[in-house]
Amino acid sequence: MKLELDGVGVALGGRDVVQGVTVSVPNGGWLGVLGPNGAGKTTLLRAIAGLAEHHGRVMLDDRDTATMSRKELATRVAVVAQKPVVPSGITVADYVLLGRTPHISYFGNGGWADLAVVGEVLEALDLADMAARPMHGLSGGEAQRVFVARALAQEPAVLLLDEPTTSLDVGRQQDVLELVERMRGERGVTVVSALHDLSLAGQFPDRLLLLHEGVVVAAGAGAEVLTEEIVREFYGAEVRLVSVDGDDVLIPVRREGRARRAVW
Amino acid sequence: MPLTSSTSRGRRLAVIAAALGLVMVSVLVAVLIGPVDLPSAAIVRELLAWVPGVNESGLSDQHRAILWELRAPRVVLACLVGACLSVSGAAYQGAFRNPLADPYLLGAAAGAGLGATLVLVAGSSGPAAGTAMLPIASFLGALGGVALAYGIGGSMGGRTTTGLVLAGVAVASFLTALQTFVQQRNLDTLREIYTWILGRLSTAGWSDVWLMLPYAVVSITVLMLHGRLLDVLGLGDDEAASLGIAPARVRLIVVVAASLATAAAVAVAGLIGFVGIIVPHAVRLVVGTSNRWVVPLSALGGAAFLVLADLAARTLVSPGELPIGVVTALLGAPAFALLLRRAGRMA
Repeated sequence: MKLELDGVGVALGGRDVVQGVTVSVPNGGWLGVLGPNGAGKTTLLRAIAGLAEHHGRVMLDDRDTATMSRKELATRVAVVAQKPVVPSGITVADYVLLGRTPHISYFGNGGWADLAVVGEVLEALDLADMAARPMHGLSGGEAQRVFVARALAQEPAVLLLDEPTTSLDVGRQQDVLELVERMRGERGVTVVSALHDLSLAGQFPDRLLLLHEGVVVAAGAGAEVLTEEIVREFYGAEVRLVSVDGDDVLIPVRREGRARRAVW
Repeated sequence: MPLTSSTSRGRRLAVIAAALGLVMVSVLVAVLIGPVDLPSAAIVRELLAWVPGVNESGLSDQHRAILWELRAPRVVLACLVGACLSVSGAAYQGAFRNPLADPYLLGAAAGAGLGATLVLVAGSSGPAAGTAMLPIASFLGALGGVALAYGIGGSMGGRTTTGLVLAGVAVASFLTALQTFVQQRNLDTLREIYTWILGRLSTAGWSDVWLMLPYAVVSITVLMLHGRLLDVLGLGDDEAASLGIAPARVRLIVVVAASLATAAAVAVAGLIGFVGIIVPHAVRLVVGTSNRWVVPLSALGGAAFLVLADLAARTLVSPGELPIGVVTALLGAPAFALLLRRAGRMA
């Protein structure tokens, strides 16, 4: 499903948190949203998901989401929050089943078809063995996979991920992003993710968008956005661009002169 | 099917069947035991008289009267009150995402008590209010109490669970103080109100059952239908909204229905504490935390629990009677402490 934002802005408490974001993501594309803390990444994702009141238009296959009911929107757009709330005592299967909510009628409890979708998603994400386990016993990487599984059980056309790699070790970060990449290939899901880690951001999404104080300050392919100058200006960070196997990868470098240390 | 949920579904159905059995057994025991010994075989036949092929029970008229006019309404009322209090406890806990929420902690019961007291006082001074007003006044009081607790809790910084509980405690104390004030200013109804507060299933008749039944049926049905949505609310309002639910509206419906159930129970049976917190927690230990199962099982568990508590109330100090609220607290508080210890070890 094609996702287009046209002059999208969000005002919270009289302050413009996001302003005039215009971008288009083709069907099956992956847009990475970058920006320092407080730049408005999460708010932009919330606007796309219909969770934050916005002005401008969010269009899914040329249809304005403002004309859709909450439920209708939920059958198309799924969100993986940055820190999802996990109800105490819930099992993996029951948690993923909650993703079926937009497909189940108000008083319904979900039928075999819903359980079948859950089973298929758990299988695809290698979670079938954990179905009966309580969520609170999972590792960070496992839990993140279950969060993605719940979103996929929603059978969305657009998947929004808010910093899906935060608090994961580097191997699990790659696992999650590779999983998203695979799902986008297998299921044709359009992905928008807020990303913190610039070196990973350069390698997974097709296109990047850099927000600063709610405004788009750079957009385009990885190499156009992730330059040493742009990162210095908007993140206040000193980085070097290194070419690794044909990909440009950013690595942070120490800003001040290395302190003289005793030689060990 | 890689899901184990089909087997756990089977297990949960077995638990529901067991809970139904428990309710039936406790009802049977409760109608059999009392100051007058009733012939048990005849009672069973009398209770099953509607089944074709069961013989005449051969009960004497006196025994039949004791069964149908004294014990049966009391037991049925205990079932209804227990079910209402437990289900509303489970619902409040789900709606506010707070395991400590219950009709008493949130000011619902105290509000209902105030409403009922006002009706009882007004009833003695004029014909203005009849018993039919009791559930309505209780309901308005209960809703007022919850709204106040929720409002104050919300303004105390976000919708934190601690804020809500603290506000509930404050509101409950305030409303109880108001209720005590009204009660003490009207000495002529003091005794009536006092026995009512301590819980009075003892004077139960069919009229109480009929008074309560419609409210109980409507509210319990509504809450059972919202079991799955309560699970969705457990994800937090933002994520519930991203799943296509209107969290505020669902919560409002659930809270209104739970307050109605609380009010109906308080109106006919007075203040009976601890049921709404201990029964749902016990149920969760058995079937897990999904409200699809917790809500209906709380109804059954609450019914059985209160029937047995009432049985204890009228037999422990026989021929005297303990107020049932005292029994539920005496049984409930230690049982609750044990449950917490066990849950703590399991977590």
